[in-house]
Amino acid sequence: VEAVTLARAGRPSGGVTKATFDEARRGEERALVRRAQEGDMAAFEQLYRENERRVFAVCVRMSGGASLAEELTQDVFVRAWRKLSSFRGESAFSSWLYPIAVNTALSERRARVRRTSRVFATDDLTPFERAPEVKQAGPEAGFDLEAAMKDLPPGARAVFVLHDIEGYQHEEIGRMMGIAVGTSKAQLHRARALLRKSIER
Amino acid sequence: MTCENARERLDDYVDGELEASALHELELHLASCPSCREEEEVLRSLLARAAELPRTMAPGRDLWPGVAEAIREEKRSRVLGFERRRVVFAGFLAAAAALVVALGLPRPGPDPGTPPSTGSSVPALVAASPGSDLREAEADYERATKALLDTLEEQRDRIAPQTLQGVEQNLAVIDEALREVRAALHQEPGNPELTRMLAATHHKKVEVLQRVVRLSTSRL
Repeated sequence: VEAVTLARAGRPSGGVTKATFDEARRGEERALVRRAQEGDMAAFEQLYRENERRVFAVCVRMSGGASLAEELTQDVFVRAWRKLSSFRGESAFSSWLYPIAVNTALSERRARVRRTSRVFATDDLTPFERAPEVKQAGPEAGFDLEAAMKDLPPGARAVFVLHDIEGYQHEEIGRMMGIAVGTSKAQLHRARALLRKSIER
Repeated sequence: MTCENARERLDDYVDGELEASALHELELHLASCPSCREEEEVLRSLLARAAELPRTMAPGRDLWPGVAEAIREEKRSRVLGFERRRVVFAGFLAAAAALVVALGLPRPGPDPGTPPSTGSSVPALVAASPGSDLREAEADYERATKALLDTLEEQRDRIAPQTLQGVEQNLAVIDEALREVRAALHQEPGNPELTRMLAATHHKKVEVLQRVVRLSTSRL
């Protein structure tokens, strides 16, 4: 509230810059984190409210389904609560939180792969390539990227989400996913090629 | 450059990761190849769409109550874990007391204080001393325990087999309690309650051994 008031007050004269706003916001966030680290659930709830939608979006896109993403989002915040003492406030809380979201979604995927690997091979391209039912009416105009992403093989989808939507670099993706930079690039190439085919259909 | 080579490099091209020479070569190819140019346009359009996707989405229900409940549950299970260790410790104390009764020994008073000396050096009860102090105190207790066990071994023939079996069983219970408390301390180093439990368990072991040794020597 304080940060918003500062920014509003500054707007007419132009005296308060975006940097001042960010600084005030960070100060407010650090205070919330400190309270949450001391066990204050109300403070942690506020941090949750501020980040829930972004975390949920990452989980939806990484997992490919809203109901699984709801569970994952809850899991992300429980994990974040557990690890809260390790957050030193050197970066924004969101920069610390999003990799936890990505890793939670990835580890759920790995667990699912282990559970289903006895039944069918994962990262199989054929389901995607044999999916004429997702074909759109017009070429690019009616193209639904969210729907097409769901049909990507999970590894390729994860890298596409992290690189082309979330803006992570291949080095960061490699660290988070435990894969080589070259593998991350290859997965991105694969995802883009499949999505391009989908656009052209 | 072939169309296949060009398409392989399109990703690096649009990401601005192509080196100068490869970049020049690809741009020459694109200038003369409408089909690859179209591929490039489709790729750029795909990336533009990805960049336009909303970065936030609202879940269909309020997820906070579930998060709060899971955290509360976790806090409760931590407390229960601590309580469980207290129960194990209480079980050990009961076993040690039963041993004292079985041997017909006088019960220790409310404060065990310093047990009667058998010539071994018994360290004082250590209260909440983490780190090296605790390790030193444990080493002291272990030395005292070993001296008493050696004495007991020498007296072995003079103790009834049934009594000896009872002593061994009860020492096993005490050792199990020591392992439990040590493992818990490993999880929560410096926890004063656990430190107190560890010191008290060592103290009890020494005390029980001293009483058995005293009993066997008095019956000589």
